[in-house]
Amino acid sequence: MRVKEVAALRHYGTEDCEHYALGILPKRKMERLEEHLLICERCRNRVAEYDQYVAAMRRAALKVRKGK
Amino acid sequence: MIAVQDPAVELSSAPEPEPAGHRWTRVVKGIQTGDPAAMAEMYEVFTTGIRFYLCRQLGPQDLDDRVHEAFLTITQSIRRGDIREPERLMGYVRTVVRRLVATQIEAVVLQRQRQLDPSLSLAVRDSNPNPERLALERERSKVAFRVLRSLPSRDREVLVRFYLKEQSPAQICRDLGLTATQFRVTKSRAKLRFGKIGRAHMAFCRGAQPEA
Repeated sequence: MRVKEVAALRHYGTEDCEHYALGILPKRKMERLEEHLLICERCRNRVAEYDQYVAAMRRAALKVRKGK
Repeated sequence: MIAVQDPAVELSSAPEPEPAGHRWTRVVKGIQTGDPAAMAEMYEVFTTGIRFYLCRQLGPQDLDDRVHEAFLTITQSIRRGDIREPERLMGYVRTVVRRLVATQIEAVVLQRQRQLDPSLSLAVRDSNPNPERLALERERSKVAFRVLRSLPSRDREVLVRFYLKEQSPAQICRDLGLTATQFRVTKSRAKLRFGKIGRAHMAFCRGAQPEA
């Protein structure tokens, strides 16, 4: 995609990306975000970062809960 | 949609880019008339996004084949005239790719049901993850564990409820007597700490590697 077009995109915030990673984004918003992710590298990177973070926090929280 | 806009938009004195709706209509018409430039444009715009979506949902195995299958399906259906609103091409691509994922998951579930082996898990994603990725996941989990252990107990409780128990922010705030701002601050502090400890941890790991 051309640079000018990328710059013209409006990006999603951290909270939406985190909620998407958690699978709790409301359906309509999730659809719009997924469409946006098709063409926006910056938001893909942000979602990927939150995917990793959420997965790590879940595993760690489980460990804390088990009292290890 | 949403919060932040690139400063580049305000600073740019360049002419306005082609509106997205016009662009998608042009691309769809081009594909329907067999224009190779339109095909190339669709590949250029959507390949990375489709790869990302498919990899996220199904894992990295057979990714090239799946991306190819997605484009084939999209192109064929555009040529058949299935797309009613060409200006909504992004939504159409998403729907097609989502259906491919659903079909793939159904196929795996069916296959496993036929095998009648209760020991098989239903995880569809990446049944054979590579060791490097597993090692990275372990390191990130260690960092997250250190973050959780380093926090005051109430903050830790917030994070465990949110990430593990999947309680809503509203419920967590109600149960623990927090404001929405306190909840957000707790989360963002933990995320910052995760980044900071993570960088230090990775630097330490790199430093501890023996010379090749």
